[in-house]
Amino acid sequence: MTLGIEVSELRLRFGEVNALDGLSFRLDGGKIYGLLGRNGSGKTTLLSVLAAFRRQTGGQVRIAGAEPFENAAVMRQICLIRESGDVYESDYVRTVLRTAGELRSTWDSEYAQRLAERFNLPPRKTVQSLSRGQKSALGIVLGLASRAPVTMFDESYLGMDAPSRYAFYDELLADYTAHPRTFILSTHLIEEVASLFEEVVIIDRGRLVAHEEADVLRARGVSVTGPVDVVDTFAAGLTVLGEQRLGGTKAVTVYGTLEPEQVRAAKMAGLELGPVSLQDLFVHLTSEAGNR
Amino acid sequence: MTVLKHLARGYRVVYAWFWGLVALVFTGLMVSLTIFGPWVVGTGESSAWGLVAGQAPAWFLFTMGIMLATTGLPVAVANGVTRREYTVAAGIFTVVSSVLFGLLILVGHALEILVYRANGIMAALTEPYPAPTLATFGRGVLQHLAFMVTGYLIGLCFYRLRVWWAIAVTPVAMIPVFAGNDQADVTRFGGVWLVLAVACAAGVAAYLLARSVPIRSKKA
Repeated sequence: MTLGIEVSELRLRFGEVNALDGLSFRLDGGKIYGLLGRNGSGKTTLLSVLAAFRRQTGGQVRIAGAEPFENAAVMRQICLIRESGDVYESDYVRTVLRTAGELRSTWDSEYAQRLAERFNLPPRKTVQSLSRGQKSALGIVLGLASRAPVTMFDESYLGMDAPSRYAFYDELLADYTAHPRTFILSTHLIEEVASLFEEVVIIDRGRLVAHEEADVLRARGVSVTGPVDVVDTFAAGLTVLGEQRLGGTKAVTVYGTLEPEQVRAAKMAGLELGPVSLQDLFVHLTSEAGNR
Repeated sequence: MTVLKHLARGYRVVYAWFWGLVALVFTGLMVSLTIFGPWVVGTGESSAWGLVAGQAPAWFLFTMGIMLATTGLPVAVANGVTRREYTVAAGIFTVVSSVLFGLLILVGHALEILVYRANGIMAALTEPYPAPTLATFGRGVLQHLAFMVTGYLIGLCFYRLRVWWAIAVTPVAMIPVFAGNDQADVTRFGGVWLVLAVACAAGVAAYLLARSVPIRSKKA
């Protein structure tokens, strides 16, 4: 089941701070979305509003056409896993999984069991005695096994080591293929997760900076590599996001789409053009200059 | 029903531990009474069970009320349960717990009477033994109800409000406890209604606090 999400002029104030400041976008659902933003950009607040963890102070949220806050039909189809975890710290791992099974109609106990074994979660240990990585793994199990039509992970896998994170990405893709639904992943590990994203939403200071298909977003920039002087000549007048130099070779990341004649000129000059990383684009789009 | 079942399953172990402990202490006292006579029942007291199960169950339910609010609610909402669904389930669970505890107190009295009679203690009492009547049961249920609702309300105050606000409203939130302790005499018509009224008011206040409470991140 895939549920669409529509956010319109969404606002949320904490005292004098606008955590969300007129945010609007629409997600069709049934895809893996990346939610990117700097610290304090409003990612967690946005996800909390979508999951009905808190109510917005203005604007509208619609999931499957309905406001999620205190809407039983919608709330039971949403699962938000936060890094801090929303479980009893003194509960055993097996109790936490049983609780989710009791309260979630979409819960898959066998899958949860399998995931718990894959991530080496000891069922007889309490949550408070787990390592940070194990707590993150517990969040992963709770999120994936919920099989909620809208499942969101908010930095919830940061505590895991690299092999465990890659195991999570594998599980996520496999389960998404077998049970298509909407995933939203909020992360700072952009390059590591970027290949999973079908669409990317970038927010900054509570406002939408970009919402595009991942490939379209990547096409907003290009890397140019070649001899230093040739690259410098070519890049003159273009928006350069970053540069690297090794001996007589230089690589620059240029923001914007090159015109066909620029591409021809680059090739004639012996320059190599390549894709730009999502992270470089993200840094540019959320930097002070990029926001202007 | 789903949330109510979840609460019942989660709390049955805690309840079993509590009553197991109470039963252990009570058994020790009864054995002691049987062997050494009524030394434990001092002046002005006629029931050892009254000492063991007088205030302890009420304050135990008070803490359960706090737990229902501060740990139960966030976990339930995180698992897709609305605050309204949870509050209704917690309310029913509070009533069921109060009735259950009231019944167990009656059972304790009944057992104590058997021990007293078997050992000739009943006749030696200087104070009349509190007969396990419907009134005793009703008083216990009302007291427990008032305490548990108060715990839920105070738990929500501390979960939702800034700590100084929560401390400031605590004396007002405690009114059902005061009423439950002193007024829950079901032989006095006004007492029953007073306790019910303040317990219901506390329940409504708890719902008003819970219905839009943000589920904050633990690190926040």
